[in-house]
Amino acid sequence: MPDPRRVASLWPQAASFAALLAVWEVANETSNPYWLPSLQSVGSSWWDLASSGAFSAATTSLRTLGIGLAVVVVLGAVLSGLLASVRLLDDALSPLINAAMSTPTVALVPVYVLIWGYSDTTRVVAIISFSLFPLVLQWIAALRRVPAELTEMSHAFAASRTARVRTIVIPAVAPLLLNGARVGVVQAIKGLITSELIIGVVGVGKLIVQASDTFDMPQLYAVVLTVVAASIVSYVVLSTLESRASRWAES
Amino acid sequence: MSEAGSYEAQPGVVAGLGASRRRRHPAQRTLALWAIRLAVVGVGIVLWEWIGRRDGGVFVAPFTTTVRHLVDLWKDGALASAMWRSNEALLIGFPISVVAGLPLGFWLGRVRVADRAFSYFLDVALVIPMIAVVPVIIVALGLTLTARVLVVVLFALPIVALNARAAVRIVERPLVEMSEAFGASRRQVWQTVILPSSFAPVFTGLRVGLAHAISGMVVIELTLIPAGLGGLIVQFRSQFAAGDLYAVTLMILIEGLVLVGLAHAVEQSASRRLGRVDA
Repeated sequence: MPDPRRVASLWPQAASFAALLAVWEVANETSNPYWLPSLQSVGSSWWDLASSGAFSAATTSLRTLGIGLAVVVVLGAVLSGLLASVRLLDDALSPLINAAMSTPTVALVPVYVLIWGYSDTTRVVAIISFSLFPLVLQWIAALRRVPAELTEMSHAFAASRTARVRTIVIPAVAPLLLNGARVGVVQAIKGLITSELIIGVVGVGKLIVQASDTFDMPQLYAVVLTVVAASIVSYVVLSTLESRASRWAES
Repeated sequence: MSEAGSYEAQPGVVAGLGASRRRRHPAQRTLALWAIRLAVVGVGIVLWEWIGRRDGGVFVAPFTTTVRHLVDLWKDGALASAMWRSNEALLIGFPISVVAGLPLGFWLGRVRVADRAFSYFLDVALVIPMIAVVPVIIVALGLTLTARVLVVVLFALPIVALNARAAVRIVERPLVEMSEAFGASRRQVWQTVILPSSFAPVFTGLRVGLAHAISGMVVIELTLIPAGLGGLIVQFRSQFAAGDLYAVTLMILIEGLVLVGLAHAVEQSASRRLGRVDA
């Protein structure tokens, strides 16, 4: 049940959002540029897309995202486990990971297209190369967070292994692990959309490319705004999970 | 496994035992670090070369071929002119992101209502795949310099502004209040308290912003209507010119490494100098 006072305190956000919509409508009414469709036409185009089943193209996108994330999580767990437990490896390789993250990963997507064509593999590899390293860096930090004094104390009190994991390790690492997962999902979505737009013939990328090729502005805005909304929703859901977890870890 | 690992990683600190067994001489340790790094990069290059040769260079151009093509393209002038064309957008767009992003971030960090009203737009900009917006920009502006600059700004400004905002927010209140109590003007508070102590996060924002800006520069050239470096990439891809495609890609990655590496070096030397002033 949302607290009414909290809802009321959201007025600055609501005001700025309303102002944005108002500016959009006024700009559309007065100067009516061809690249800015009216809100209403975007809405009805979205409804047409949804009811004609055009968004089913998104299911292949979501499936690829799922496969890509599964691979990233497994690779990320192995890599971060290894680096977090062997200090020397971490010190040696973390600078390389940081350096790799400063390069524009998007430039690699055409190479993936050359190697794997317009297949799922291309998109999965794009997802991996966008999200693996950011996730690994967060997870190493998470695994490093187990407080040594507490572990030591639990040894002194002869706590069992499961008790130690439950009471010390999980509360210490869970919030940061979830933080890493959130970063990973955000990056994976970026990798997915990037590869689909560059490929241009599958999934959501196809819808966007079709709309812009035919100068169908309402449809272009409808698809782009759907992508934006979907990534915001997944981000909000993961942030909520994360703050729940850290509240639980503190208790 | 993980908890055992981090427990063992610092035995000297925790138990005061067995420290000498694991501790290496610093020089020896540096040597080991570089040996591991070189080994990883070396194995990567050897694998790349091997896969490329086995493949016959159709889909994977071997490392040596890539380097040869890179040199050829450079001598030919095609690479240099494409790089210049691409980097125009970066040269204009990144300074705009900094000049507009820093004041915006400082303002959001100090004015609560503004923060509540506008900061979430920046958060959203970081979270969404910005590339999805690129087709809208191209349709509206074409593949003009304005469009490319706009994309660079959209990629770089949010992170620059958000880091500046975070930086001035973490400045300790008591310090600000004390300097106000001693009659410091608004300008003096900013000059002597807020800006110096927010230096590190601001600079991190600039460095990450630069990396994002380079991505933005490449992204627009790869989407819909290819031009510049992206144009070369799309052209070579459609011609199955693997060697040239790999060479251009490598060049873009190297540019990212060099520019962000330089920014990192500037950041470190500046923060060292600032640290000395503080001390």
